[in-house]
Amino acid sequence: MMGSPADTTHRIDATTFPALVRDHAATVLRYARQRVGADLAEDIVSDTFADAWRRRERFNAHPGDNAAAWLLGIATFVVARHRRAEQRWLQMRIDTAQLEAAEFAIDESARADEQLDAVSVHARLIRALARLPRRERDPLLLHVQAGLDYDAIAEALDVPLGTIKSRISRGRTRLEHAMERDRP
Amino acid sequence: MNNDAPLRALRRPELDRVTDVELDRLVTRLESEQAARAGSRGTRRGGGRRHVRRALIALAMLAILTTGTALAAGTNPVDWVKRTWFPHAAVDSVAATDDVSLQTLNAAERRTLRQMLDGMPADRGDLGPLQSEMKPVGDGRVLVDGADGRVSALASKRGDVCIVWSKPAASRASGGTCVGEFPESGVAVVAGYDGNVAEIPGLFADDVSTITIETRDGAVHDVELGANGFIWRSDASIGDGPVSMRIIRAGITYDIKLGDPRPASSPSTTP
Repeated sequence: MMGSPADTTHRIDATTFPALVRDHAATVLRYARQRVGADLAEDIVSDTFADAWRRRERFNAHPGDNAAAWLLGIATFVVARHRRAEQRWLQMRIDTAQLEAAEFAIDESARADEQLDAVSVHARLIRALARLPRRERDPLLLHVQAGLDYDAIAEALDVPLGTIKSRISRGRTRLEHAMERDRP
Repeated sequence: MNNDAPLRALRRPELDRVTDVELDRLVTRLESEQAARAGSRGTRRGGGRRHVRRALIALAMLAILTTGTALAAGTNPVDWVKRTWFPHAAVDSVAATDDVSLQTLNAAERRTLRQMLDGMPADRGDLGPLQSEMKPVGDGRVLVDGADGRVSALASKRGDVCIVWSKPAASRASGGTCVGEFPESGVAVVAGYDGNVAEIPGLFADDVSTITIETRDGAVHDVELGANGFIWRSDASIGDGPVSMRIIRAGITYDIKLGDPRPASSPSTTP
């Protein structure tokens, strides 16, 4: 988990911003790709750094803050502006899994049943994720997709640690129940 | 699901691979954009391209209401309002003149709300689809209810705050937008134009102290702030239509370009 990645950015201004970009662009890009797919990811990164520049005084007011977590939090808010794109991306992942499932269903090889189970579970997982409220989906995906620990997620989303823990816990439970209900 | 193992499937390893070429291209783009930002006036405004887009979207919003039909947010208007956000507790924290529920919305407001929510048919008269999307009674607030119309805020089950504005009953006009989180400026608005008068209803956070609107003639108008909501109307003809909004929130000033509501003209949209 990324809890406290090496971070040398303590203040954002015109002289340190290029280093912030170089140090963290890849991290934000990976997260954006996971959240909305590769097509839109670079635009998400662009908006993230634009917002980061606008909000730099807020970061500078908290010298101990972790720049990577802070940027991933901003990226999460940027993703929220692209709700439809995110939902399209999730739907595409569901469709892909269902297509794979259909192929395994007609495959008579020994491993086909096992693979069919795996892709079916995956489709149900993504379907459940798509229905998860944003307040639970965001911290859960920061944890799973960006590798942040709970402290970093709380910092990223500017939400108390206890709230983050309960949202992730509720999100997991909700995913589990939704997948159970979705079981064929 | 007591550990992360089942959830790891949510992360696709192939998407984590970023090549040096991809990264170089991205960094070059970001540096170029930053250079443009640093060269523009003002630190709280985006680049020129963004302002053009924002102004055009505002123009589109205004034009839509020219026909007096419901404003279907969910595409560009949402993007316009959704600039920078904080976690959505907006509805819980706002004051209110009254609670509002799906049942107490009028027909125009319900129609607008249906159009604002993705994938809902606009022509269905029943409350069924809305009930499946919106939180129940008690999570909605009427923010303004007066001679200029009504502004309500309702929460969706997805966590959005939906702002619904309706003009007095006779006009049957209504507009609105749903926002996932609240703008950093602390103000979310829906702009309207009926052919003569521009109207800007909106919702504002507790720590917003002042909102002013500058019109084309250079005059600056104070917006009368109610219980976390407001409706501003241009005094006379659209010749004095709004061009920008200044918001002071917690001592910080935010300037928002509103664009020109007149469909035929297109003034400079850069800061």
